[in-house]
Amino acid sequence: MIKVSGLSFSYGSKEVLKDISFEAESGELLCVLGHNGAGKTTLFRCMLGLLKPGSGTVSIDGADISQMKPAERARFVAYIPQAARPVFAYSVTDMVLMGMTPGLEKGRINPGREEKKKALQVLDQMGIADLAERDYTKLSGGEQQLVLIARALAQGAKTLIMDEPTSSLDYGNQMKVQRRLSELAAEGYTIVQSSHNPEQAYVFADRVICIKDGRVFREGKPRDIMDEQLINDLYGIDVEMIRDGEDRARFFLIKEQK
Amino acid sequence: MTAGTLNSDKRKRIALAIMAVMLVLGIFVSVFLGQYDISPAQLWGILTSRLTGAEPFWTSRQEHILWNIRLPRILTACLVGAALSCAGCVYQGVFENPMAAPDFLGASSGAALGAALAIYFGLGEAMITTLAFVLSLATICLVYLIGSRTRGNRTVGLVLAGLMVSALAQAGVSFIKLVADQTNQLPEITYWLMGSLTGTENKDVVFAGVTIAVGIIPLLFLRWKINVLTVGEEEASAMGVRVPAVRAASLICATLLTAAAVSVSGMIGWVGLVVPHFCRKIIGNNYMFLMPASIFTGAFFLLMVDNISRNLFVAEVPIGILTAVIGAPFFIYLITKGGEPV
Repeated sequence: MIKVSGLSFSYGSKEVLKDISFEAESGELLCVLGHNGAGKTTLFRCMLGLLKPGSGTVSIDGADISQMKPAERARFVAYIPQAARPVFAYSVTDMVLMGMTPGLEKGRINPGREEKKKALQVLDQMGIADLAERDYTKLSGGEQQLVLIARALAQGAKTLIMDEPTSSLDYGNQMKVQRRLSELAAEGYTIVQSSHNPEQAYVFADRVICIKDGRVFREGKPRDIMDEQLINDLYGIDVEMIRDGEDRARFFLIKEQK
Repeated sequence: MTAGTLNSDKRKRIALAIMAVMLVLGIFVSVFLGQYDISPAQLWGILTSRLTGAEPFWTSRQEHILWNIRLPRILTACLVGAALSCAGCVYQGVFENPMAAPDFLGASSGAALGAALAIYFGLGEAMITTLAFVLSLATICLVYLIGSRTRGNRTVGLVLAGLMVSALAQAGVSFIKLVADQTNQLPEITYWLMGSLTGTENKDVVFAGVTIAVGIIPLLFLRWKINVLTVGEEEASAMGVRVPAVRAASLICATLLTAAAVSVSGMIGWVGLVVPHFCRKIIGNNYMFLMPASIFTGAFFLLMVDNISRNLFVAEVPIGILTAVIGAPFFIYLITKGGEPV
């Protein structure tokens, strides 16, 4: 469980986050929506302990992360970036092994046979054991994303933070990765992700947090809070929403009348 | 480059062992190369005579050449090659830039200014090395100081600061060349700038050996974390790595290596760029293997080039010229036909 309370953050004199509070339970997939520049990435950086908030706290299972050493913190919360292309090619196994760096016991500086065995287990758990010896840079975007998720799992953290994990993927891979994330939430992981796709949030998220101008604007279950008005408030466009039963929805842009 | 060819750790270990054996063989062969012949039996005799007290069956000249000229030169070539290659592969990783080389942050230009000053003021052999070393480190400190004050991306700031300070140091060198005595000092400065291992003495070996060991040993302990750094600052931090500390420690060590190497040998380019790239092709990018591979291969490469430099031509060709002549075309091969893109 991750809890954000009264979080504010400023870059210089520019206040980016204002008094943000929310929490995500274990087993919950939380989706953060908001326009570009709303402060989602800054929020995530604070939640990962990469930025020190001006005021407020982030705590995991009741422990304040600002009081933790980096290696300790990394065992509670892991970051899954957009599938990026690193400059140097590493094998998939090496990529996953990197996630085990914070778990190395005192006096051990390099991962060894034991870590390698666990890395292969995690790859197997993700259903990508066959990629172990491949070059990470030569994988498809979807496969890369699965490797990055495997790396976060290998890190041992139960809270996963993902900044638009699927935005660079094709439609099929988006759905596959998103389904895998739902499964992980069902296994007890806490997942906080941002998304630029409200429809996807509607389908996959247990709860949605809407950020606007650095504040929590709305919060709740997708089917309770997501409607035409919310989309207009968040993104400034007029849409028509069509619901399909309880758990699916589609937004259609309304063309301006001439 | 990594997939398919040599991806399993076992094969990488074998490749590493081959590189180490090549280096040992290279050193062994190099001992026999030179104007004065020394037979294998004589070599063994000279090396062990201090322990066994055996009756010499060699001339005192041979003994002098082996102890005071040939061995110091061979060891210095190995040390300088290892240091430059190791520094190069570390800079590449820390800056996430495959084109980074040991003189990236101005270490070489600073050393050149120091050497030129020492020659201009006629301070003698020992001070050339010392001043080159001191100014090389001073240049890097200045680069850090400026780099840390730049706005925006720190890494880019550091590289830009390196470019600027290098340019200043080079201007200083040019000015000294202009005002230096044309018959003695100017040729000496020019020769030093071209890089050479001529006249290497035992005390150079001790100096280079100690400073390079001080630089390389911490890097060997940091090499897994350097792997994590290469995927990006944010991700590495999220994986619990203290990025600023690991980065600073790596750069300090790599800079010490560069300063030590350049102050002993002058400007020897290309080694720190080409050797790590060659090793990346053979053994992959994992620093667990890449760093020792660069150390062994760098030592071997510079030793071989130095053998060519001191034996193949009537007049000795400065090694810096040879590394460029060999390194540049080889690098072109690596980035074009060599297989995968860098």
